[in-house]
Amino acid sequence: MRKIMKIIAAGVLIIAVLCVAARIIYVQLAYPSTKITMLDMGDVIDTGDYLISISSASCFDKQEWESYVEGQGITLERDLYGDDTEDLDAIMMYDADADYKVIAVDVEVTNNTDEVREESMGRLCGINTPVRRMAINYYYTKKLQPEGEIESTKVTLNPGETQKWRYYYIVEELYKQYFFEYVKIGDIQRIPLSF
Amino acid sequence: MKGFLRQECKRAFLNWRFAAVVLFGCGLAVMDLLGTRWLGGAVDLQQYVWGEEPGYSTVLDVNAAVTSLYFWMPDHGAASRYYYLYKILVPIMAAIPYGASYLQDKKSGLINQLVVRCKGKGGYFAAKLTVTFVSGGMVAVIPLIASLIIGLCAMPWGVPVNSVGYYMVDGMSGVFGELFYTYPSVYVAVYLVYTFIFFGLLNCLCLFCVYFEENSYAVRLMPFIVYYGSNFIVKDVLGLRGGLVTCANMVFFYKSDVPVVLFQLAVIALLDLAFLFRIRRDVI
Repeated sequence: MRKIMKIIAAGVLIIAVLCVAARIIYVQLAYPSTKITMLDMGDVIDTGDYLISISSASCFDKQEWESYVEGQGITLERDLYGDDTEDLDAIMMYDADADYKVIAVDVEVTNNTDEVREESMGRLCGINTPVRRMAINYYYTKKLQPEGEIESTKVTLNPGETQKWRYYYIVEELYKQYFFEYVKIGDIQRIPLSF
Repeated sequence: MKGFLRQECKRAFLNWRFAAVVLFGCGLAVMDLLGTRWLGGAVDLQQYVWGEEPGYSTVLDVNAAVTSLYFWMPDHGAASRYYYLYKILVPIMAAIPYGASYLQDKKSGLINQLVVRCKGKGGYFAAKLTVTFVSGGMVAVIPLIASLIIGLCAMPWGVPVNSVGYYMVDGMSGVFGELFYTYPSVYVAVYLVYTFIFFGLLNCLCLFCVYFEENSYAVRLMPFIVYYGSNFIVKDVLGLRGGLVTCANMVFFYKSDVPVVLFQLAVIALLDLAFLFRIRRDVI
């Protein structure tokens, strides 16, 4: 009797293990892929609605950046605020007194649909590191676009239209790896940046 | 000594208490998915695969680009009452199967025969310490492995993407946080080893407790008392971060907490090793 109970218990255990294994295999095969596709600079990210490519990426140190901004006739972001402004680091999202770096990325975006599309720059795709989601610096992004200053980072693309955008990111410390990333369930694409 | 070690392992693992606590822990892992909002996420993802509403639209709207680690219990933290229950009870669960075995051996007189079989007190005490450590570690780790398997039944394995914001691990300031977003399988292995060692060391306090307590319930409660007592002293009395209760979960263990946690674990390890002084002191 005891032997039969052991055989039944072993049988139930084996069936349970097989069911779990089958479920895991099914999920791995049928569910949206979690695979990250690595592309190269110059490759095109096809999101279905848009075609996105990176034409260049560069990194400025603080001195280079401030010289560049002054050369463009733009006010430095820090100079927009008075010395008595509270929580300046929180408003600007970086410490302007620190030895920060600025990453500039040139992006080409094509509307691949038959409709007029409105998109928020930086929301569609952008730079991240493996460990941190980055946010564009809206002040410089609006001020220093290739086609000139823009009012808003919300842009409109006509069907088939290609626009050139430049994203600016300010970091206090450079991380070892940056990539341009498009994330959609089942479709994660990254373009590693080198500068 | 090897034979005795094997025998003690059987005593620790092939008993109804061990099966009961492990089953309870695995039950908490199952409820962590079925009894929380993560079930909704799993159902939505299944509906997305089948093309059914409302899951299909929900998954697209929230862009749920997650992996199986999204459903892993430790990543839920206190947001899951079942994980919270697991975290509170695991020192007691770990002590139940084998924590009072030394006390039982002494009270019954069995220790006299076991020491002879071990060819000396040293072998007996070392084996006791080893098996108590392993027993505590296993009780803590098995529910986490069960939760991992449950996560794999809900979503494929893959490298978590930090930018979607669905994970609690801080890639910058979390201990091994970067590993989570680059080599998640290594992170999980490190996490399980950390948990194994953490609760194994705590469980060995049952042996140290026998110096001054001979009640088996009190002996089994000793790891729990130290777990919470130490947390209270560090957080509420000293005002520091790095309480054992929080840092038992490596997801919420930050680099700045490392010295405090290592100090506490070192003290616990020393107290555990103090059990070996009984090799000389115990009169058998």
